[in-house]
Amino acid sequence: MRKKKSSHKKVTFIVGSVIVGLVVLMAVFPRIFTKYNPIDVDVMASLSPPSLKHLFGTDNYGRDIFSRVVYGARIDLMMGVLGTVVPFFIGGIAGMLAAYYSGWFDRILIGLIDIMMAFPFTILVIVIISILGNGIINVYIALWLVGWMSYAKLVRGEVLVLKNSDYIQAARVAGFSDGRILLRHLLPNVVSAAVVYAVSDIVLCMLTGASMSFLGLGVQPPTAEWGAIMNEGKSYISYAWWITVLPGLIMAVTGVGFSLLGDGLTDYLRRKGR
Amino acid sequence: MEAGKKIVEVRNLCTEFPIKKEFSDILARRPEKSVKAVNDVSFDVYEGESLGLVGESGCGKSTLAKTIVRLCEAKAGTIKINGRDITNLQGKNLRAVRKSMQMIFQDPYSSLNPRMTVYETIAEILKVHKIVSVHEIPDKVNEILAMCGLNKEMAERYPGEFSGGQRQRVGIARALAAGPSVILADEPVSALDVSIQAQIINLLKKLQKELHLTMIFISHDLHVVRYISQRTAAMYLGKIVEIGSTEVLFTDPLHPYTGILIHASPKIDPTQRERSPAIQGEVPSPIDLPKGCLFHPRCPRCMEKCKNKIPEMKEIKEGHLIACHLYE
Amino acid sequence: MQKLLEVIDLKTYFYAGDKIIKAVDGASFEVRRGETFGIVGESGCGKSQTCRSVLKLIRNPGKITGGRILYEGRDVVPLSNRQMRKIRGKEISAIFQEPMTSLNPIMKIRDQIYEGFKGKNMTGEQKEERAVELLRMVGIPSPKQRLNDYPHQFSGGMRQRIMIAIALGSNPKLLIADEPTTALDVTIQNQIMVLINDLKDKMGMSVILVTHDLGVIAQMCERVAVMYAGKIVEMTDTVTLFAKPRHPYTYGLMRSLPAGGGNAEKLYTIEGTIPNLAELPAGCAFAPRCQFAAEKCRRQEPKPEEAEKGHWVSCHCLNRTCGLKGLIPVLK
Repeated sequence: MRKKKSSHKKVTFIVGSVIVGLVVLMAVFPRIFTKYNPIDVDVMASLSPPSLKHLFGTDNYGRDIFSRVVYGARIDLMMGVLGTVVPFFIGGIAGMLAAYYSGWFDRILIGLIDIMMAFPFTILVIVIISILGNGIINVYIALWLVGWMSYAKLVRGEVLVLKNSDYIQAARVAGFSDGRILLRHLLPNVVSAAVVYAVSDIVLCMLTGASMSFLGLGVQPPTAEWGAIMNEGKSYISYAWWITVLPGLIMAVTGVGFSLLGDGLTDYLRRKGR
Repeated sequence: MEAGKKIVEVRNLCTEFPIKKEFSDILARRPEKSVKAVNDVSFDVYEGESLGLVGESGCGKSTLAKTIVRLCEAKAGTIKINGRDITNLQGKNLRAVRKSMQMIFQDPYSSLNPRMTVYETIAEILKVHKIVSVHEIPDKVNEILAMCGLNKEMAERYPGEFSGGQRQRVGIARALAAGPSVILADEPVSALDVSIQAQIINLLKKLQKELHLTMIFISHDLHVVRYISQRTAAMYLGKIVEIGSTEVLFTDPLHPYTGILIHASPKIDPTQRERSPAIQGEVPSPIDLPKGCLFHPRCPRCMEKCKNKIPEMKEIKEGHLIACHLYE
Repeated sequence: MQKLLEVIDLKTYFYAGDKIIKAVDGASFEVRRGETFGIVGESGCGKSQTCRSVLKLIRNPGKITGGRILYEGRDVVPLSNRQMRKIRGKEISAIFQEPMTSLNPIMKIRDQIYEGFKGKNMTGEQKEERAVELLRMVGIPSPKQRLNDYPHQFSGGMRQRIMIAIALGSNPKLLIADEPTTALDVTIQNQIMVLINDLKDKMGMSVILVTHDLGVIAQMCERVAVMYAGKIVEMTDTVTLFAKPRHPYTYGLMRSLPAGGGNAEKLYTIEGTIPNLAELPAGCAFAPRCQFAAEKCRRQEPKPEEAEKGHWVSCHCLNRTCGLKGLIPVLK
């Protein structure tokens, strides 16, 4: 019975890796997927439905949607990854230091997080962008300003438990410096939980980034980006559904891919951590 | 033994844990309360001896050990190791002095970093304290492991692959790596099975003799303490009530509490059954301590004086100290 | 003396993948009316699983795969869960090591004691009267007021007393106590031991006491079984066991106690570690650690033999173990 379960886990992990692998490939080498330039206008072919020539059809300017999706992968993936990695480090370090030293830093940090987290994630991002102004850079800044808190909270909780464990006490008795205890003893034991969260967070950041573009706050036309493509298609949705629906579908599949990968990774880390 | 050099000198040591105030306490302006885990404790440990520390849970024996190795902050009093006052050392100085006092923990499962191999665990200490030069580290690790009854092949494994007894050997090896002069062993055999317990006790005794270690040995098991320690101190509610040579303390305890403790531990003899309990009731809460002698509400020999006056530690016979009004 | 419980060739196996863990492998013993029967051994020897088997509380992936458990002459192994429930908690009660996890934290003590009265036609007043009597019996001060308290309002020792009160609520004929004093301090352990001894005499019940502590066995039991790797290796009355152990393992356990060896420079040790139940060696399971082990021990599993009247030992080397010295002098 156990065997069946683990092979089932393996399948989800492989499916997840394949999906994520394809998206990464699109982002790095878009040319191998499509021959069209994503911003080439072809008025003759405007609003043609999906066909062998144009897999996902074309938009009102006659731009090939599939190639726009492929080229858009780079920006969306970047938003997902950068929107996760930077908060991962900032939040992780802040949470670890706060929990290890406790005191006033911890109190201020946790107070700030509690207040900020009372607002929904997306609302906070929108508020920050509307203060800073539209544009991709500001989307990044907003994601960073909001994202680190989850990591800080997660890591802080883990460290609070571990810092009183016998082996950390033993490390202190052994006369190790705080830096060594933090890096060599605490970090390896708290990082896996944060990594697992980060994998699912990539999806969240990607979707939030795309949503901002969809709302017109992020990437500006004519740059290809999934949310922006969907936004452009929304006025034609009644007779050219493919402009909005197909990029949305790709986005959903990418999200599922990352989730499956995250599941597999969780399982692996748990078995390794034992 | 008594004539030996003093390695550990503890004087009037106090450790308190404040109790978090409720909001209603702040409104009512109640004074801050605290648990006096270690309450005015003084004793010495001499070179090469093992001092046993006995008492029931909550008597402060673990906190005392943690205060001595500076894992808990002392509220008052002094701790001297090798004649040097370490009570207020900080940072680099504290880290340097720590290599001379090491601790062995009770739970062999939680006291080892699960993500470090045995080799890494021990080599790290050698490296940080520069015990040997870098290229000598592998040999030194093997030497320490061998001393603790572990073989070379085990060095590359993770703690998860070991049994409880082997893990405790690793814990001991780690404590010895820095070449300490004092070892604080906090219930080192309590979590182990009887047959494994004997192996670890023998190991500790052998190491103590060979390395001329000074040891503070904490246990709730009086038989173990009697076997391993030359002198014993009994604690009750954060105070040492009696301290003296183990043989004298166990055969002729003077403080009523020590006597009860010894009487209560089960005799391994079915022909000598207890028909009535050694003492009624339980250890009271350490938050609201009784006035006078802390033991007086439960003491079978309580006098009027005991209810008001805290008894001082007094030397009754050579090397036998006791805090009780009966012997004044 | 009359037998209350007789266990014959009990086998309780756990199935983990393709491995079979023989937690209890062919244990036979009897518990007489009014006696305390001890089962002693180290972790993983099967002592707790033996008790759980008697209560039929073995959970998946474990199963009682063989043997009979005769309670008052009636085999309980084939009984359905519902039939068993009539025996469990009424005829047979149990207390466990950790009183905090065996008590329901969100239920008043009153209601937890009342649960034992189910099916007995009692009025509210009678129930309260009985509950107060039970709490007084186990030594809870001001029992009437404390009936409305929750488990967390009691100390560890008091909680164990409440567990005992609950277990005694139905006037059981057999009390199963699995490490009842292990989590307690010495003075409290001492109180609980005296209490159980007392109550056993007063109520005339039998007790199965499971422990790893030979001191507790010495203080409480009339007869003892020593278990190792799922098997009973030695069984006799307590005084004989402590005076003349015949199995090398029993001898090793006693000699490795710090209290047993006097001031010897070195404690006797049983070398090696407790074996993995899924990969037991052929022959006698103790042979790899045994100082007496002969070639035969590694080949053939020993069967229980009556070395002397009422003294059962599973060992091939009985002729060589008759001189082993126990912890107390042999009575003339």
